[in-house]
Amino acid sequence: MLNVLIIGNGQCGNRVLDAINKEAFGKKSKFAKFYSKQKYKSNVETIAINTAINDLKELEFTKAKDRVHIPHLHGVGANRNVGKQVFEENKEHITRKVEDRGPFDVAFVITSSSGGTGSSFTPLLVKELKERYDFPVYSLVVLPFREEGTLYLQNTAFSLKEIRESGTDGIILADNQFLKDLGGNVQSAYDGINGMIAERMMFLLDSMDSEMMMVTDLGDFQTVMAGGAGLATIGYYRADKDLPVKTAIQNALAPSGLLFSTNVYEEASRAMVIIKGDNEYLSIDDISNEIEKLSANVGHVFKGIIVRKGEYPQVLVVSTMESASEIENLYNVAIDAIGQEREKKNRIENEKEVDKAFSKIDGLEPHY
Amino acid sequence: MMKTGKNLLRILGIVLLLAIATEGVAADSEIFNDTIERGNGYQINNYVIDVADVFTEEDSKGASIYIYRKNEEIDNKFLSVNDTYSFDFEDEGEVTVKIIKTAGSALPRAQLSIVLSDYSLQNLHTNKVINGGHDEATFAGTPILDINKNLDSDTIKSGETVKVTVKVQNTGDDKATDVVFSDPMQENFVLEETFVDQMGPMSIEVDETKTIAVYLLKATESGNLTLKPTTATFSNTVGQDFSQATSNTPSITVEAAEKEKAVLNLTNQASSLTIPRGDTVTSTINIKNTGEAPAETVNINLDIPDGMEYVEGDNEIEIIDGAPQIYLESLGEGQEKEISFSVKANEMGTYNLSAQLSYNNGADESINTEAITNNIHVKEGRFDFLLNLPIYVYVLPILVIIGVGGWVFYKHREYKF
Ligand SMILES: Nc1nc2c(ncn2[C@@H]2O[C@H](COP(=O)(O)OP(=O)(O)OP(=O)(O)O)[C@@H](O)[C@H]2O)c(=O)[nH]1
Ligand SMILES: [Mg+2]
Repeated sequence: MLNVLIIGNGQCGNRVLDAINKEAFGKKSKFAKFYSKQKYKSNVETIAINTAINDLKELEFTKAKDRVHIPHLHGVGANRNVGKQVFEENKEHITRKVEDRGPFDVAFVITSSSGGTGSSFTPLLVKELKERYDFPVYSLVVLPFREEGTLYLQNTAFSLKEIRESGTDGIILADNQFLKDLGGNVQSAYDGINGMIAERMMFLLDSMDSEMMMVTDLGDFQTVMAGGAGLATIGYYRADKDLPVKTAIQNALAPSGLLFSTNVYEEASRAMVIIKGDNEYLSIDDISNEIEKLSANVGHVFKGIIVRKGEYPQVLVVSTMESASEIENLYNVAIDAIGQEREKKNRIENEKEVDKAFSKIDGLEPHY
Repeated sequence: MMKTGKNLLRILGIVLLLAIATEGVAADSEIFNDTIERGNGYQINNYVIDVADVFTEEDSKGASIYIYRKNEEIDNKFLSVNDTYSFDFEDEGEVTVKIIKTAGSALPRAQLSIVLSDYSLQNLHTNKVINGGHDEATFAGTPILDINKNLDSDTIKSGETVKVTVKVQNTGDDKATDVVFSDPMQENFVLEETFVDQMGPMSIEVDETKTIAVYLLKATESGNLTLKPTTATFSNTVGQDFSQATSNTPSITVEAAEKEKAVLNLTNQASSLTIPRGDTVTSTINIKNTGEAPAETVNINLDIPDGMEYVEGDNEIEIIDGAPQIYLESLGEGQEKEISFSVKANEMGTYNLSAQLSYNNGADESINTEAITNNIHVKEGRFDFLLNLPIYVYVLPILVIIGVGGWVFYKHREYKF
């Protein structure tokens, strides 16, 4: 049994973590925690870290003892410099929380790329974990809606870079913008997106810790994540009716199944495909055909099959990317944004010059 | 010694005064000194001195006198001139007759001196010359009035009347004249009605009976009462007054009248005769005065049996020492009151509610009665069956509830940040 650590940093990280904890109860009821048990296969420890106490209070499925408040006003106001400073000041406190619950076999750190707290804590925390322990640490990064403003884009550009350089074993991308555009089941945008991420994470954890034959394991996952540019995303499809497994695999790889805009067949570097369901749906031929199709375009493809009596086919795909055109687009926009922010700052400084001019007559009296 | 001397002097003085006062009585009085013709007489009260014969011859001047008491001759005597003759008069008195002189031939007559001694002159009602002598005299008698006061009943009740009849009979030997009756007011009675009222003045012949008063007296008090006598003052034919006649004083027993009494009727009714334990039952007390007087100090104790509990009631009910009571200063004739209260049945069983009444019936009698409801059956309460069940039947659900509650609380705490 694996010992898994999942940390959610900042509001976005907290909420996604809470969604995973909720997903673990299986039932979608708000009161599930009162009568149900979390169905984690592994020994999972979750920690929500935030500077804003209200964000922590909002959580419903994460135990109180798993919520760590780092006091600093009510968040760091998207200012990553402040966020980094606060982390440095509280580093010991945070790492002790991890230490107390360890040892772990694998860790996931969830954050938005654009806020202040999560995006500045995550690279520093990953670096800290990598220095102290030797288990793999993966980062699950949520990209902002593009219209959220230049500050968020700027933060995204810098935080993504820093996370990559932090020593993380891989970045799994989820893009709010992309998931919103898909529409569909995304009603209350955040809850919908968080649910999608949670569903995939649960499946992933399940598949890494399964004792069944023909399954992938943590090692396979590590290999996949080590490929490409260190960026990955997850595709998923769950049939709600009698459906050929071939279609289910295709749907998991289609944009509607992915968390990030990519053409797997063109941009993927390595992939892992896990198929779950009743035996009657799991036609080995069909599966092999589809996997072959994928591996012809992509490099190595790991394949796992989990037999679940009476369940319709479900498919999870983890794929690392050789290239990510969407990230390039994002950085282009971000550079503009950085320019704009700098200009704005200069303008403010010029305004300060005006202040200086006014201040020259401080203490003088008019003479008539 | 000095003192005794003074007293003696004083007594002496009084005796002297008395002697002077009685002198007129004791003294001799010449009541007549004149001539009386032969055949005539002189009457002194019921005595007549007849001058039967007068002798005028020089050597035998005198007169024959006959003394009569009424028509009875008591003595006769020839008296020469200057002779005296005395005879006893009435009780103590004495009459002395003296022939002073005689004269006349065709109409011989004698001069007489008549002296009355030892006699009180005020008792002298007749003293005059009677032409024709004692045969022509009228004598005065003593009327005796027997007054009889008669009651038609000797026992009556207070408030009832008795008829009083007053009759008089003259049992004396002379006609009673100037008879005036006096019938005093009677204490403890009031005059209710008068039928006959002849109080005089009147005359009553010898042996005559008269009804002088008939009236009704109403008794106002009880007891053995004696009526005051009727009295009469009267004279005889010659106007002689007599001491007043007095009637008998009849007695009568006046029994105390039955006082009007209050009679209270008390009923006590329960609103329901079968109730489940824990419920309340209302008892309604009705009290009515069917008697003829107001009841006083009306007190009702409401007896609440063990296993029941007084809950609330009308304003008339007050709780004294934990016991509900009703007190009414009075309850007038025909007055009726209805008072309700409720009790709660705490225990199963058969009960009745008792209301104990005591009052003064207006005739100073203390009356005690009681009104009891029919039996009230308190059966098993709505949820009593729970108590009869084995303990685990309700303990288990309670434990489950506690368990679930505790779990929810624990979970809530676990997730409450
Ligand atoms: N998918 C998803 N995105 C979220 C959620 N909450 C916030 N975000 C996104 O996260 C970004 C903002 O970062 P936050 O996580 O709120 O910021 P933070 O880390 O708490 O930092 P500060 O609030 O600045 O201290 C925005 O781009 C939001 O669109 C969420 O619940 N789900
Ligand atoms: Mg925040």
